[in-house]
Amino acid sequence: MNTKFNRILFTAHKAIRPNIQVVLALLAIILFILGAGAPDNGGLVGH
Amino acid sequence: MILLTALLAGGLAGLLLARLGKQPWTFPHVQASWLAIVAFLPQGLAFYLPVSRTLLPDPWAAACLVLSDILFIVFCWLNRRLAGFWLLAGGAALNLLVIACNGGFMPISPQTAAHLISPALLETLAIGERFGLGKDILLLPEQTRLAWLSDRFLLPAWSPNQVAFSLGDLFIALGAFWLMAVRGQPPRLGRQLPKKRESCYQK
Repeated sequence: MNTKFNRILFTAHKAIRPNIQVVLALLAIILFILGAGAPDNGGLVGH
Repeated sequence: MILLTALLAGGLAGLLLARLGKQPWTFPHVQASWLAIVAFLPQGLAFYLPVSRTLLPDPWAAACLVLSDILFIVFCWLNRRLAGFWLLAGGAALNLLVIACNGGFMPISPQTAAHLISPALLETLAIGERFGLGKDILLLPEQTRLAWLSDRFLLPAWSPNQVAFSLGDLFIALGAFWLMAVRGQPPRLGRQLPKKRESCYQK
């Protein structure tokens, strides 16, 4: 039982792990361009 | 928004190029993603989180911006082997330079600001005051150090989302597009080397 559960966990981990890396990388790029870039309207547009 | 558009356009171009080259599309192998997330935290507090951005004094917000930009440049250095990261680093460095030279905020002139907000609202802002709760500070061109690196460019008048942006932002937009379009792979220079010949001494 324990071995079967471990096998399921291992398979799930293998399937999800690359996706987590892609999501992290995408998040890093998005945060980089939001943070290092500075296009601005001060949040005042429309006021 | 223009930077996210460049990222999206680069992703679409990358998908198209991969399809034309009959290769699977893969996301660029970005290293130390955690560092970009950590680097964003000070800015998130100072400029994005509604609760903290109103509470944080301006000098602290300026320090957060500078610290954050330095960490972003370290992130670029760690990923320097990926195509596009030199442009991203260059843009971040140009923005950091002009921000550091002008008290920790990105300068914007009243002339440029007049294209973004109503004249009545502009009159309520004093020179040297922060432009809303963003990263910009209202400065006259003659008071601005490195004015050519400040937020001085505008999107076309027909654009629904009006923002001012800098030369550094332009570099970052190009870098984001390039990174996603070529999936971080550096261009192949010259012809590929021929395969190593088998040694005549091998059996």
